[in-house]
Amino acid sequence: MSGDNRRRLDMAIVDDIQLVSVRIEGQLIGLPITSVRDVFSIHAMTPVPRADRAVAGLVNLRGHIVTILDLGSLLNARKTGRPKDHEPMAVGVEWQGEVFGLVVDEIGDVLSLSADSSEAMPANLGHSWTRFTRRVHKLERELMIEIDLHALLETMTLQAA
Amino acid sequence: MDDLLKDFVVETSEHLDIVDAELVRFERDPNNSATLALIFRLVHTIKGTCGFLGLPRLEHLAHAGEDVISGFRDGKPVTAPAVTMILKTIDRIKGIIAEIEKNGAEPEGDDEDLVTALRALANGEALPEDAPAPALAAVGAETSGSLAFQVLERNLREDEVTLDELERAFREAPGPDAVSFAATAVPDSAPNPAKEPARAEAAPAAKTAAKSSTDKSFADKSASKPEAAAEGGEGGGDNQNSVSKQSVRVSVGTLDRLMTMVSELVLTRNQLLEIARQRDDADFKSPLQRLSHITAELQDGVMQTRMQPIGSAWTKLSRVVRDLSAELGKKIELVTSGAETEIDRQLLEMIKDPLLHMVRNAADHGLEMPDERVAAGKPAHGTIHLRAAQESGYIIVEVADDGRGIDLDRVKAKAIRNGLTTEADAARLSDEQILRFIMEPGFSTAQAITNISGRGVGMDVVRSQVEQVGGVVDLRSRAGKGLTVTIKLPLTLAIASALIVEAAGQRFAIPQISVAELVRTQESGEVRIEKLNGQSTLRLRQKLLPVVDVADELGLEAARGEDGSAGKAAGEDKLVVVCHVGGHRFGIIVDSILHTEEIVVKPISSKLRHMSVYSGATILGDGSVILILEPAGVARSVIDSSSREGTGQSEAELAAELAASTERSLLLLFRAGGVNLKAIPLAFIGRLEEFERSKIEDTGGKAVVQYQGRLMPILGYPSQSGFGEGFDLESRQPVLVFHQKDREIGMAVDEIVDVVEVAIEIDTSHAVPGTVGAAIIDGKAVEIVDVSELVAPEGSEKMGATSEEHVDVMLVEGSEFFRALFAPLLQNAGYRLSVVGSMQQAKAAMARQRPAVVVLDLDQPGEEGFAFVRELAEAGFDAPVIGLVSRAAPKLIERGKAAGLYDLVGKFDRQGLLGALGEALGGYGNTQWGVAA
Repeated sequence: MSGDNRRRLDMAIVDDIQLVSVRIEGQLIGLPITSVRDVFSIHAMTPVPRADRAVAGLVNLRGHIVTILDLGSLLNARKTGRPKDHEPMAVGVEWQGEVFGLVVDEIGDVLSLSADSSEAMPANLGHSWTRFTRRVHKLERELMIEIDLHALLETMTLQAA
Repeated sequence: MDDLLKDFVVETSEHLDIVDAELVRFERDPNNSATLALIFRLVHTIKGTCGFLGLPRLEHLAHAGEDVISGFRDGKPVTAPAVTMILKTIDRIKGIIAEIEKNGAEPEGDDEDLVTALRALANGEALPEDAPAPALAAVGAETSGSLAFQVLERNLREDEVTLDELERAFREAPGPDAVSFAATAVPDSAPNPAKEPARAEAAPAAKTAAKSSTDKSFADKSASKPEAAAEGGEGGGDNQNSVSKQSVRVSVGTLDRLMTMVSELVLTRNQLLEIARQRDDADFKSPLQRLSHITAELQDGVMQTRMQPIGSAWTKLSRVVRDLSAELGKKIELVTSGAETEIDRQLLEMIKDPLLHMVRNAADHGLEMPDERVAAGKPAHGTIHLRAAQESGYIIVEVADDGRGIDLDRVKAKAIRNGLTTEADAARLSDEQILRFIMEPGFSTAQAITNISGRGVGMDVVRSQVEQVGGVVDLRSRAGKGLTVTIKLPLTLAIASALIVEAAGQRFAIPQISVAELVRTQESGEVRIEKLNGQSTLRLRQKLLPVVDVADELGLEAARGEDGSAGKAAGEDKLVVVCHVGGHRFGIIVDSILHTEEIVVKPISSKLRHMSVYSGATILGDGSVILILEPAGVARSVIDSSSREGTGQSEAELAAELAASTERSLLLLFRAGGVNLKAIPLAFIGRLEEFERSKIEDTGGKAVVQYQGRLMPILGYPSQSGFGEGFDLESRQPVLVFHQKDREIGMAVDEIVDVVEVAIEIDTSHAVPGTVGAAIIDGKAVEIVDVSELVAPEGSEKMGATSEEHVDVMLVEGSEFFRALFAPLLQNAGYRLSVVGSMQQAKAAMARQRPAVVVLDLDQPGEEGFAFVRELAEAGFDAPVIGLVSRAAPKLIERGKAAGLYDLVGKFDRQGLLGALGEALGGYGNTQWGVAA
């Protein structure tokens, strides 16, 4: 770790962009903690036949029906189907008064980062990502894409057939 | 009492209570403009409402009060006497309200006393000279009342009492309620001995105050709650049954929260019940039972709080109708029934507008002008019926007019023009389906529609609003007789009864409101699923019903194979949920039906709302989430696909329609030779006659009568042997006259009972000689008489020729009953006939017999009939085919012709059939006749 990097990390703590790190198809993705309501594991999920493929199903979350969306499909990052976990993890997001659960492959720590360590999205990431990618954080070992969840859900409305 | 008045009483009582409280507060804090504004608004509202309801006395009072308050608003000093005046005014108003509540009318009397004083206050005068303000006591005097904050503007005069004294007088009186109203405002009349004891007590007290004051207005507070005492006779005077005291106003929000909580409670109870079922723990059972019971009662109770009589939404309508009546120059009467039917207030709110629309439509477009009505033989008065009833867990609301009904052709034309359908499609639609176009959004937006169809304004709004609350709209139009719009609504929005079904391992809920019946199909039974050009149809009670498999519709087939539970192989017994939604009947195939459950409908996520197959989701007793299917949505995919795709499916639709056309036929019921009823299709009977028995002669063992200049044989029934014996020769003999080719034949019967219109379902297995079977009419077995035996030309074969020779007409008729009817008819007409029972037999016999015309019954084979016609054409048979249907609707004829039929004729249209045959046989018809003769 260079001195330069260390300085940035120190600043990150000060600047305090807090992101929940998740993994989709191996890619590290950061979700702003301010838009994450909770994190829960999915038990019995009711599939919704004929729905958009991003709709994983419905679950009973403490007496409320929550629609579970597959973050991977939303991001168009799925090459194959969603891995068939037994009890997949989901991130709860509130959008327009409604709670959605976003299934992720893996859920990691909450990271505090600085905007300094980030850059605008590289152009080759593809147009579809620009709408909901805020920036790319350069972590020590890999890159993390910070996603604007609300923009993502907004986009999904358009995609739903 | 008028509902409006009742509401007014309740509302105004509340308003007054608020004004009371606010005024008191205001007095303490005269600078609080918010309070003042509130008071002003309330009094203003009361004034306005009184004016509207025609309560001049109240209006007058409130108006005067308002002026004073308005003065305060303009910055006049707020004085205790002024406030007291207003309070007094309010008390007076309360008194009058109490009277209205009791008697339904404003009491006699006037309030000049108060009004004058109020005016004086409003004008800023202290008070008129002859009526000096007495109560401006406070400071100067030794007062210490709670009202004492106000500054006395002048000294107390000689003949005045202090406010304190007044107050004491009020307190000593048995209470405002006990004090007589009447003229106590004026001192002289105060000690009126005519009233009851309570009053006696009140009077002196009132007098104390009144006597010392010449001020009419300040006579005392006795002006307040007077009538109650006068009539109640008791100190309390409160009418125990008073409307205002019986009801408590609770905010809708509170009720909604309660309802939500109860809904959740119901869910939790369901969960517990589910657990108890699994555990089978006896200790649990009884308290759980109790919990369940209480929950149900609570649910009922809370729902009750949300219930309102539907009539409350109707009051406005009578006014609307009255106005429209004047405006349109029509005479319209609004007849209501079932106004007391209770309905969830939220639902009520949501159907108010649709109701208004429907009534307005009925008045505006449905009913004709008086002269038109008279010309049509109807009373000049148009009638709009508003009916409401609770039927099997639903609220049925009906708006029926006796106007001109809807011109289906115009609707059809309009629908085609607006691109809602195509000409070809429209031809295949049932009347009901065409009618439903008027509820399509694209339909009514065209403004010209009012002139063209006479209907349609806002009907799409009606439908969408009703469907939004889970209801369904049905239209029934009878040309020239009016339109009936029926709305079926759930009792409440929050909780719905649903059928829990399973398909491909996944459970779904189907709302009970759209479920008509459940059917188990059997591969080889009466009720079975058959494929028509790839589309499944269910043969149910001889009607074809389009069915869809939920698993197919939802693309669950793959899952079905996967989970190993193995789909039901085709042909295996299936369960069909028969739904009736929006004029469409269809079946939904499911794997199993689990149970019914009260579900709390939760809206589906905004991300899924575009999916018409789901109407919501719910959490079941076991905690699992299931989707609620929207039958109309599931069906839509069927209906849409059928109109999009080629002829195959449209013919399936036609087949369904053919089946649906198995309409009613007219049967003549009579008795002859026994007590049992017998019947003959009316179409086969030429005339009904009565002959004097003395005119019936016996020639060579046969009865004959002179009829239209000829001798007509009369066949006795059941045998001719009994004829003529024991008859009273003076009485008249009813005779059914059958036309034969060149003569009439009479049939004597004991009694002609009735002509009934029934859907005949004939059971030929019970045929006995002389009959072709039995039918059930009104729950009674009726023998259908074999007409062929009676009207076939004597000596001819009963069943027609089945010779190897060429024939004129081949009758393809699967039903023994109709075979028996048509064969003699055609033979009588002189055709050489061959009769076959099925299309297979027909094909086999075709080559040999080379019929000139084929008469084919289409009711049974339905779609296959058309295929048969095509096959014949392909095989090179050019014989025209005449189709027989139970009811030859014009569009069916059109469709049939398109399918290659020469003509379509109604089964009971004897002349029509003979006409079509003659036409089909064309130029050589005459020769054929000749040959036959």
